[in-house]
Amino acid sequence: MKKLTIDPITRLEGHGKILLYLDEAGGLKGAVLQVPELRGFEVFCRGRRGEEMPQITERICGVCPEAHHLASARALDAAYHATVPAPAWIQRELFYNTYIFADHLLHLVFLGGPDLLLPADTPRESRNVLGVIAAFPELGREVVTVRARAQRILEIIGGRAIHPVFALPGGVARPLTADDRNEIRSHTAAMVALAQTFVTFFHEEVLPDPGYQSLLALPQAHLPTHYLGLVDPNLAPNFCRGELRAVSPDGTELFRLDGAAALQKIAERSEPWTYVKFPYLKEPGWTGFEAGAGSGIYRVGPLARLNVAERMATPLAQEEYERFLDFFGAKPVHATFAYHWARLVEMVQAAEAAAALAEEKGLTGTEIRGKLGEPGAGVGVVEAARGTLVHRYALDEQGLITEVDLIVATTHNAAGIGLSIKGMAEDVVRKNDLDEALLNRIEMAFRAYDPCLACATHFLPGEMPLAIEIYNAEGRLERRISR
Amino acid sequence: MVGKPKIAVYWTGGCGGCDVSFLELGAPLLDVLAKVEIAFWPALVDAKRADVEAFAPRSLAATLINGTLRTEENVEMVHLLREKSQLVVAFGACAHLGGVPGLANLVSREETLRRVYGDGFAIAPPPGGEADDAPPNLLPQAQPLSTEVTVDYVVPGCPPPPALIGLLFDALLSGDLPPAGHVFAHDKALCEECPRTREDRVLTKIVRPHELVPDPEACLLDQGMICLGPVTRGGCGAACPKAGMPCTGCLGPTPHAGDPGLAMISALASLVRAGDEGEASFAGEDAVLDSLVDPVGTLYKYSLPSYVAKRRSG
Amino acid sequence: MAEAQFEPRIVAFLCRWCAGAGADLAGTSRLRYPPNAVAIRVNCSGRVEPQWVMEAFRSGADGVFIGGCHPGDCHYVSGNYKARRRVHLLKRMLSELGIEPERVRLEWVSATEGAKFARLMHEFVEELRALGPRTDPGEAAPSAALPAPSRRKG
Ligand code: SF4
Ligand code: SF4
Ligand code: SF4
Ligand code: FES
Repeated sequence: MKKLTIDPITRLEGHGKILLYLDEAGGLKGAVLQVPELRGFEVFCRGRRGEEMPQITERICGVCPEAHHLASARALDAAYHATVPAPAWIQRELFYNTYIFADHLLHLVFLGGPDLLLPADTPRESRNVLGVIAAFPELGREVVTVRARAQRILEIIGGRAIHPVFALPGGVARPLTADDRNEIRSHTAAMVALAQTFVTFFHEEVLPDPGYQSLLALPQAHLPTHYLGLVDPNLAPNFCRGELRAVSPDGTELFRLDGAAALQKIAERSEPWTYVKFPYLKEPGWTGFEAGAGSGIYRVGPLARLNVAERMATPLAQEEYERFLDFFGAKPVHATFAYHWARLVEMVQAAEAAAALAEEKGLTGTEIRGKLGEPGAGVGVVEAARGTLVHRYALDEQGLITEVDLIVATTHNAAGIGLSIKGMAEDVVRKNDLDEALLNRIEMAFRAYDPCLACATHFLPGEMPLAIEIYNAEGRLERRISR
Repeated sequence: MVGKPKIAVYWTGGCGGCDVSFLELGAPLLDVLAKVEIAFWPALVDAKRADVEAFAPRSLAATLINGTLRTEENVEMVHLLREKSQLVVAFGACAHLGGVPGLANLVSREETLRRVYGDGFAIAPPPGGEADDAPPNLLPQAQPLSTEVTVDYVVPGCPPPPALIGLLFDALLSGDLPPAGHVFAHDKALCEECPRTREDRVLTKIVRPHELVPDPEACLLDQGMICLGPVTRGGCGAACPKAGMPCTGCLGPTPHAGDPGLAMISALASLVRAGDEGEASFAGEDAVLDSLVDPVGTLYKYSLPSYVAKRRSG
Repeated sequence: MAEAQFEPRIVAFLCRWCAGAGADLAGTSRLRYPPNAVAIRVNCSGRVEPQWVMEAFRSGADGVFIGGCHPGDCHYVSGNYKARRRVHLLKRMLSELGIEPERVRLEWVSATEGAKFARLMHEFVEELRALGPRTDPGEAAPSAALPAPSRRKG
């Protein structure tokens, strides 16, 4: 038996390793995605001050600290029975849309982008952001500059660009000034402009590329699952508030509920061979590792959010959304590599939303803290760039944490990612010529999800390893990691 | 012509924020990237561990390592990178002092594993896989980088502020290197660069950040918040106090402060009052001091593994 | 007795104006008290840094005694009040770290209270005997951030 190792998996957040086992004939016997890490946040957060949680849990992931920061604040809002006043919400939403913009941009150019923007035969040494910048110097420079401007907004509102400090139970740390608003405005304008440039670029350079077209059409990367994501009252995606909506593979709404109630609809499947628990929709239930309407497996993230929504919240994003739907002809879109395009549509909405919020009168309002009640338990749900993120806390009477439970995007996607790797690995192995570029295709399959292994290993009882098992052609489990 | 200096960036048990902070250099990033060759950086380029193993000893001009040491694999990797590098930089609070994941040392490894996985947990390879396919063992403790390899420089912070990263690259690229052990931040306390006015007012109560919208000009500690400014290195421009939130100490203690928690206990003891000093106030003083909840988590948020004794396992 | 009795090691920080003088008096009055303590004279109990207390533990002490002037008598007016607040916070921290807070003891002892000093030492030694040798992990994690732990200073 031959073993191939991809170690470490690169251009994503977190540590990971893929083990592929081949039989004598070179066929795929099994594959394991292993996340060799455990930091134990859910254990050591107990005993900490509740109001510190936005600043502690964000250290789970430096790529999406904003998402943990806000999910945590929302869980605390609920735990303290606080109503967050409008100016605080405007700050939070402006901050959050800016984060979505910046994070999607990071993925499109720095992490996943090189797979997409560079030809498939690009040598490994230049298959990275430097290669992208070399190939598209003008765009590259603009991306770097505008991302820095977005980070500047995060810094103005959040106090720090990475690991912000501003969100508190019931509100935010301080009111913003007129100067703050003026500076923010100048940056949001640049964000909208770049989003438009990127859309044009995508349609001129990326979409027509036969490489991307073939990925979009690849049967192994077509997964008809359920989808889950937050929507606003108009059924447009909202990243940090709203209701969770679930749709089936044919697009029928299964439910639309507030975060805490929606979680009642989800159960977790334990498998004896992995420490990760696989969340699934109780209705239709667990039927094994398979896609389809009969299986409760669902996906989250940009593609899922576009699939649960009926429209986008802003005009330019709506235009791009329509082009997206036209291209695929039907919704939900099940092509895994459409995650990248969905990310772009969302990036446009986030930029436009940020620009609009920068004009809101309340942005500089001084009423920034809601009244807090006695601490109790609470759930906070947001859409991280890569999907639904849930923080659930219980606090004692001193406001110290007694229980922590978190479900991160990559965990929701664990079953889907597993299926995608399997599909891709089989495809690659069938080609029977395991060169490096082909192995990269396996990495691409889950890079499409923009998975965050740093996040995935810190939540749910079941951290290490995130082992996703691959079945062989007969559907028999080939490899497992057992207790 | 000799090629560009090769550098590597690696993370152990961290969050990746340090990598991202590097990217936040903005435009200067492109200049730095133009002057060096990135030989290994999992977050950004596709070089793999096997490539690193093939590097010649000391062929990397510098390696920036972020994250706390949490697993045996982390330890192997940092030794490997040390061997391949002329300079090793502890990059960020995790590598420098243990960082937020170092709070895990409040609970033993066995207890952590038990609470996460239940009793009888053992790490094993996939069935049929080889022994080295098993995930790596956790270390008994989270450890800062210097416990395993010689660290030449430190860029502190969680994550390091871009300005301090800039200082590191100025030094590396100009060849004008500071003495070994240099920490790229100020030796003076954060209070020195904080725009808030500090008057060393007595504290009659301790308030938590969510309990008060602070006055925009006055020192937060004077307003009763536990701000670690007096014991923390400057270098971030007092980012948190400027944003209305107390400093939690990510740049690490000043050389003068030594142990940040003990130094802060000392500072607080000097400030707390409950009326006139004297026996009649003892109970009141204790009540004020007791309102500092979770002192260990608050005062050692980034530095527990460096200053607080090891916990026994079990 | 068959078994050797556990002899706790104590570091005693004594204010030279009061507790230090009280200890001297105990000595000159030939009051018998256990020899377990290494005395370190300080100018005022308010000078005793929490870092010194931890350094004592790190160097192997089983208990730390701090002797200061009675309330109202501190030569520096309020050093003893500050010491009291420090010790209060420090004890809370110790208990969270698994070190019994009873291992730190702050007492008021005047220059004339030689007998009290001797009695307190007896008591403290007995208390520490009851607690037994420190089973908490005394050794700090190794780190370049720390000065190398030094052995007990005489
Ligand atoms: S120092 Fe902070 S930003 Fe860097 S890896 Fe550690 S937690 Fe993340
Ligand atoms: S707010 Fe904090 S950093 Fe600023 S002066 Fe006060 S104590 Fe120092
Ligand atoms: S104010 Fe303190 S916690 Fe905030 S960035 Fe500066 S050193 Fe770090
Ligand atoms: S002088 Fe004795 S305690 Fe201050």
